[in-house]
Amino acid sequence: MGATLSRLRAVLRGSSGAYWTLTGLWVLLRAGTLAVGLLFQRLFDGIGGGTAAGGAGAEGGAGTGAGAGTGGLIALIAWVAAIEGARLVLQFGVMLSRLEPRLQYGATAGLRRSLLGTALRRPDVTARVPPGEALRAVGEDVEEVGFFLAWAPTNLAHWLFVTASVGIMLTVDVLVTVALLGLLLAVTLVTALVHGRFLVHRRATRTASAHVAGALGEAVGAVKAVQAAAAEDHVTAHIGRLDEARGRAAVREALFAGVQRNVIGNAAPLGVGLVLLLTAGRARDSFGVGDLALFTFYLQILAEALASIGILSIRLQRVSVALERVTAFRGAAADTAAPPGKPAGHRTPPPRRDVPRLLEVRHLTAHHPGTRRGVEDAGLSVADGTLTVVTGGVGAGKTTLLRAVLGLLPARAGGEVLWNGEPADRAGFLVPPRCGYVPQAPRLFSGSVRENVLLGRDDDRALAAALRTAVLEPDVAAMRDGVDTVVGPRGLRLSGGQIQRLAIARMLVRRPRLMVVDDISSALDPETERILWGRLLDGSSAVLAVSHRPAVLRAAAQVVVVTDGRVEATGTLDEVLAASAGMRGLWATATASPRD
Amino acid sequence: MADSPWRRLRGLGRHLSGERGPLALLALVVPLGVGLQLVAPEMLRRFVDGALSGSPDGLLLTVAAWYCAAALGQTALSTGGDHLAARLAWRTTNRLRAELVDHCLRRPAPFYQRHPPGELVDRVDGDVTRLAGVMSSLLLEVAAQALLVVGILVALFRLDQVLALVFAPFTVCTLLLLRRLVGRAVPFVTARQTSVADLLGFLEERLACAEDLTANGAAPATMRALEDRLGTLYERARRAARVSVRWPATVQGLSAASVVLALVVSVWLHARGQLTTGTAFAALSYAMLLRRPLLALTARFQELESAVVSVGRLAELLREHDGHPPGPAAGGPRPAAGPPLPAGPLDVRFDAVCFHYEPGEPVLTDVSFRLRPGERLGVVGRTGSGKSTVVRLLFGLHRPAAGSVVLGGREIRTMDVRALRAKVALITQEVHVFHATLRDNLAFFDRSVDDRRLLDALEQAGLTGWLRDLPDGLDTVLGAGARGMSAGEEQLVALARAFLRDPALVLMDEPTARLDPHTEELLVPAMERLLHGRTAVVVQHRPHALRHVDRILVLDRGRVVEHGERTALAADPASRFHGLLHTGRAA
Repeated sequence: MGATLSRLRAVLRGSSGAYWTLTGLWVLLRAGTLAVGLLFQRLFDGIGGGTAAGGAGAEGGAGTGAGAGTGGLIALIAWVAAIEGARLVLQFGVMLSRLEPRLQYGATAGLRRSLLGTALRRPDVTARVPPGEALRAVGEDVEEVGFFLAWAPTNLAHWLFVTASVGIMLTVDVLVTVALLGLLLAVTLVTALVHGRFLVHRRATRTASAHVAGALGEAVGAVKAVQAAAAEDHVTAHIGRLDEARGRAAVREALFAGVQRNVIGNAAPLGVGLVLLLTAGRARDSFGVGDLALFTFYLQILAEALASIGILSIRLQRVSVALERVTAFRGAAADTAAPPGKPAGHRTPPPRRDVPRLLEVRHLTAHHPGTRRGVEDAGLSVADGTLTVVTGGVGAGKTTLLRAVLGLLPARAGGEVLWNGEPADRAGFLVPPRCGYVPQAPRLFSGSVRENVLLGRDDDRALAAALRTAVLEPDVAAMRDGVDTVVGPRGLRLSGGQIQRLAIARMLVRRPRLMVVDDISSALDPETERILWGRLLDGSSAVLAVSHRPAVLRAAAQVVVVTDGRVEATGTLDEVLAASAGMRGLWATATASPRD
Repeated sequence: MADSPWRRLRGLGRHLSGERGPLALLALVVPLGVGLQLVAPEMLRRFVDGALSGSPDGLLLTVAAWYCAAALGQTALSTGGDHLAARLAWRTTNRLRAELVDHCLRRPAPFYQRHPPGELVDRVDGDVTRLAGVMSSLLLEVAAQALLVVGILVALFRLDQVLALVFAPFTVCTLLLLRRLVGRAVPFVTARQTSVADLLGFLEERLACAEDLTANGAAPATMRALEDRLGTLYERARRAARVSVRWPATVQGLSAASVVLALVVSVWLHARGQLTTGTAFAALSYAMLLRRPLLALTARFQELESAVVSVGRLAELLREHDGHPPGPAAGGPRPAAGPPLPAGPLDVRFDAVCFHYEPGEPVLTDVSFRLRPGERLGVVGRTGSGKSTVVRLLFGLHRPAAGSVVLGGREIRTMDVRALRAKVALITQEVHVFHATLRDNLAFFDRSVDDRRLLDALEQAGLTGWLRDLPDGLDTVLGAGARGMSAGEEQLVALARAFLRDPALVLMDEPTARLDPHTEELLVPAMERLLHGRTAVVVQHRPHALRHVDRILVLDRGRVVEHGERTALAADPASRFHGLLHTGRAA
């Protein structure tokens, strides 16, 4: 609860002015409602002929006395009309149309900004969140929070109204008011009991919803695979099963929500019934028609206020679940966000060399989140303008090593990454113009070739040059709109080789001093690959690459052999071949001619 | 324009068929609840008039007791009605969702280029869920409240004809005015929802490639792009809010007017001695009761408006039948079901096949070859030479522009695509592992496949050892957020999927492109087992990986430049294949 409130306060930062204005206006509206109740009381006292005067034959008396009274009564009605008019202008002209959208969309924008920001700062952590859940956090959950914030300002007004109206009712009749409070208390208790069950079912619905959204997202994301397997029916049936489970959960949730809502919603009629029962014996003397009008009117608004207060707990619960997940998404990153490998005092100063290497990695340990797989105590160095090749068997930890060096995977304390002798082991340091990276399976987003390569830059000359260097020029030339061709969702329309070359162009366009490439050649034909390596290795940038290609290994100034997460050997190709049996095995496979 | 939203919603009625029982029950519960609400003010009138005229306490107590009973009954009825309506709504919208999923999954590639996954999820799930909410209120509240409005008018008429004479035209005017406002906000709400879907699609894709963006220093640019979208959404939301409040503002204003009207008329009639205090009280009660259905209709109407937008978007989605690949793939007129393909390996024939994606840019020109049953063909050539297209034509993804593609004696364009794919397995470099159990991943959610067949397929793919290491065996959950797999393991799972289907023709499109040579080696035995005794077409850009095929087809810019026995070509130093083998080794 406390955590939820402080999270909400954090979300509100920047739009608290709108929030409190809205709260103030709601209080004003409810004060108007109180006044309308009092006006009704006087009006019906006037019609009925006054509280105490309502004896036998009152109808005739009221009729005769009405000549003077009618003007007064019409004046009272005019007041009601004036208050209602003012309320309309305020509520619809200002609050709902201006203040609420500002609050709601201000808050959702802030949250989405921070979620995407987190994902971009710590992609490794957020990558572990299943796709359905990530989408739900930035979608549904954020919307829940925004909606709550736009609605929350009504609450203070409701509480004030409850207090004031109960005070007024007490001055009219203590017994009836106390009895009504008892009834309202009972209603609240019943709803609180039902509420517990409701929340259980709500969570179940949420989980089931995430399953549906996740399965659906995956099915449409991997639709090519589904169609290729002619499994459309089975996948539809699978989603249908998840859908049914969610439907059952949602119906149960709706049942408990309905009980709660209907008990609260019918509290007013029940209350009026109670008033009638209690005053049936003495309606003539102490409890007049005006009082009945006041009680009837207040009870309705009280029930509304009570409903709103009842909803407060539901909404608060919902919003805390939503905020929990939003925070979990961000928090997963926050928990591990302490810059790894930087225990302030314990840092051993880098042993000075005459010329620091461009990149120097020592004692680097990093694991795949949640597993023991990764690299242990790895070290390597890259000299400016040279090629260093990381090689090794399947699952040896080559990719992990690159990602840990780049700060995309949190490293354990104790290791260090130095750039020109300067500590570099923090996320966002080894990026262009220092470093560029082509991952093993690059991902594109829906947008033009230009957008996917430039990623927000505006430099067409660099774009053309990068496409040329990445041997992508002929491919782009063949596309109908050239560089403005939209490569479909996630680059669906491009072949694996084209995606890889596009990712290389994306790296080249930033002219990094160090290019880190993870097995770029796997989807390329030999000829294209030969040209590409020739261009990458022109000496203008250092290259750190994962590769198995004999030609690349031969061109390397330094080969780093990784076995079971450890650097087994480092040196020239001949040196590592001499030092490592594993490397000799790999070399034999890689250079083997097609067996006939 | 005003009635188009209703017409759109009517389309949903189709999904209601088969729900007669619950509907009949609702038809009973709803009017009963309305009746109970209507008698309450009448009770109040009797009570007030009785009290003022000095009726005996016993009578007043009886009236009070009846009033309480009506309130309790109303609580029970509305709860029951809500439950019925919710069940009906979910069952109905689930049917709609199933139809949409089925529809989407059958659309060809261009459809998915228009609609990113995030957008589709928002439509199929978000829009339909919004509908579920509206459906229950549509069924219950809209009907009940409309009935209530009529009931109130009738009750007023019984109370006092003057009151009824004032209120009837007022209510009619109100409804007419409100009806004119219906749908005014729809274009603005549509604009807002389009903006939301666009934003969600953007977020989904950017979250998916967060690492690429970060490592390339594109985070600031991505945040700027987000800012643009947030700005657009805010602008549209504000405009939508301004237009949307017009309707509830009108309702509120009119209902306030009705209360004031009731009071003025009551005071006037009462002053003339024509109306008892109790009747005045009941008139106010009815006027206030009138506010409730109008308000409820309003509240529902806002949901309804956004639901109408949702329905519109869904209808649009369901209407998208364009962009079919020519030929038998995906929907369209069903080709005549010819004789079934014979059992066992099938022969394949390309006769002077030409193909292009864009007119004037031929991808394949005059490609011909023949494969006997059980014969395996390797296709090589540079990137863009049209290799993959050969496979795609055989898989029924495209129809040749000229010439014919024949499988097992039948031209593929005349075959039902599903019958075709039951016989043909395609293995590409992309393997999608679903966030689901291994069992579902292998059988693609087909629950009728028994475990023995699954274990058999895993064994054929050489995954028995891997399976032993899985904590829950076939029930181990794989995929994003669960157990990670190496690229090699994923490809072996793809092979196991193929074994499970026991295809007559195996198509491979660079299956090992994502793998390093070592992993590739591990895959070879399983691939050889899969190709053994089956007709196959294998596309490879690394020719040395083609050691288990019988024939070789070399393509260059969409034309066959070489075709022959693999061993003969490999041994001939003058052949293109020989040349390719040697660049391959040098690289």
